[in-house]
Amino acid sequence: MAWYGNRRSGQPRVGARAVVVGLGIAMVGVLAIQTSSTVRSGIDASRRSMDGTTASLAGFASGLAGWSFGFGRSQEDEARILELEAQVRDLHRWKDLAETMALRMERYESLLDIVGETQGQSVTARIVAEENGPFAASKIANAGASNGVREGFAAVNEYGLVGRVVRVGEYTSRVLLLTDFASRIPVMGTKSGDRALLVGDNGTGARLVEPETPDQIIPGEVWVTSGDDGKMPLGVRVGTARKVGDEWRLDLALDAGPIDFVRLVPPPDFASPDLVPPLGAVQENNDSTLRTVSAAPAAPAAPPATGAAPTGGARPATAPPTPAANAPRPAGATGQGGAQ
Amino acid sequence: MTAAWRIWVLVLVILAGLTTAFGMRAGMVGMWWPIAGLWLAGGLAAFGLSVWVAGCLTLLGLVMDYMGEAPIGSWPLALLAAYGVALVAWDRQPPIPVVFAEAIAVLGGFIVAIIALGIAGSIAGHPGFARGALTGDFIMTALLYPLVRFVILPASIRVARR
Repeated sequence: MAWYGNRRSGQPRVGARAVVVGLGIAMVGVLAIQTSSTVRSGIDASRRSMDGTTASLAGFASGLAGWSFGFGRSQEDEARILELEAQVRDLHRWKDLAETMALRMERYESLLDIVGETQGQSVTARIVAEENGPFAASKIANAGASNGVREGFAAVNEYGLVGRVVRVGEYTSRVLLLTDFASRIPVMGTKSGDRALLVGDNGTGARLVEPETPDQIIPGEVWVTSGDDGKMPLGVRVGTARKVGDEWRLDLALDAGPIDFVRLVPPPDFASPDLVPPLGAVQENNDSTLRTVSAAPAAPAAPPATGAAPTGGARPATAPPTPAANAPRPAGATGQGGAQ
Repeated sequence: MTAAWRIWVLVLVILAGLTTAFGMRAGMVGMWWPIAGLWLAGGLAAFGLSVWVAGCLTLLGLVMDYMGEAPIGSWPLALLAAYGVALVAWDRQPPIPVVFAEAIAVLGGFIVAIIALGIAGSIAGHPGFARGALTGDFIMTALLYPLVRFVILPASIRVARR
């Protein structure tokens, strides 16, 4: 190449050097202006659209390699499919049990007049790309705003909590893993009841920061989400505690196996304050509302859609929650069926 | 520099981008995956300083930034730094065997890339930087370099010299 021969002439290419150094300096400038939140939000908008492109590129590259090298379904895949089919059968049994338990818990909450938290519609998505680089540990799922996913959704798989959705495109969403530097999840121990903040450290796992009573934490104890931030559902398994030196870490449940599918769960649907009856507008308790109901009420049972369960008239598990059912009731005020 | 060579460099950059994207497939997160940009930065420096190559590496770096959630500009800076080290490695007087120049280019390129990424993260105010995540990737980059060098470098290059 003539150009290559020219290079060997030994003449310094001052202009070219200046351009390359200028490119480097420009990149430093680009990095520096990202400290501005305005610029960063602009970049986030471009990243939102790029997530879809990244997922497509990963799929394209994968398809290209599969076509080039003739990758097909292996014996390992077949075994995995059989294993998954067996798991699905088991899960069906668990699902039945869970529905029964949910029904019972709903009735208990109704009896105790607890302001519960209801869950909106979750979305199950497949992981199409993932990144565990020096700056981020995240995955891209193939469900986005068009599927009802929003920022802040929790990502859960069969083992437990995976992370949370930090950016949503039209058809993709980026899930920040628990191991990422930027991940902060409030958690609590199931036995000790201790609460702490789970902070990721990119790659090696996550540690518990500022536990309230660290001396009460038990090695091997299961830790779950505490839901203290109002964004995560309560009680999702996160991992088991392990002491390393002076600090407590969690062996994360997400490391238990490959993450192929995730369920994107919306934040708990706490009733908004405007749904709460104003002070003084609540019906006062009286003899009739506080009486113990020992027999079926004379009045016909309320329709299931109201969420009331006067005497064993529990709402079917499949019935969707209604605003009336979600609305908190002030302590002391009984349900429509009266105290039971 | 001929137009054909420029197009070839562009094709190499696209292939490097696809290689990076392939490493982001679901299920490959635990695997060591080569940093294709470092291959190009180390190998293309054999042709001497080129604004075209620097521009292509910058573009590739920007794509890597978007794919890897890195602060925008960090991978371009890292690849340009690696390219600079590789230029010095290839510009020897008296001439040295190609294999030495390549070893310096790849190893030195990786070291400066790590430093550049760390500095870039600090400048952009990123909460952290995990060097460990790159170590395995670099080992794979170095192990596979002898195979891919034949795509990047012409067989006529026997020694690295000014």
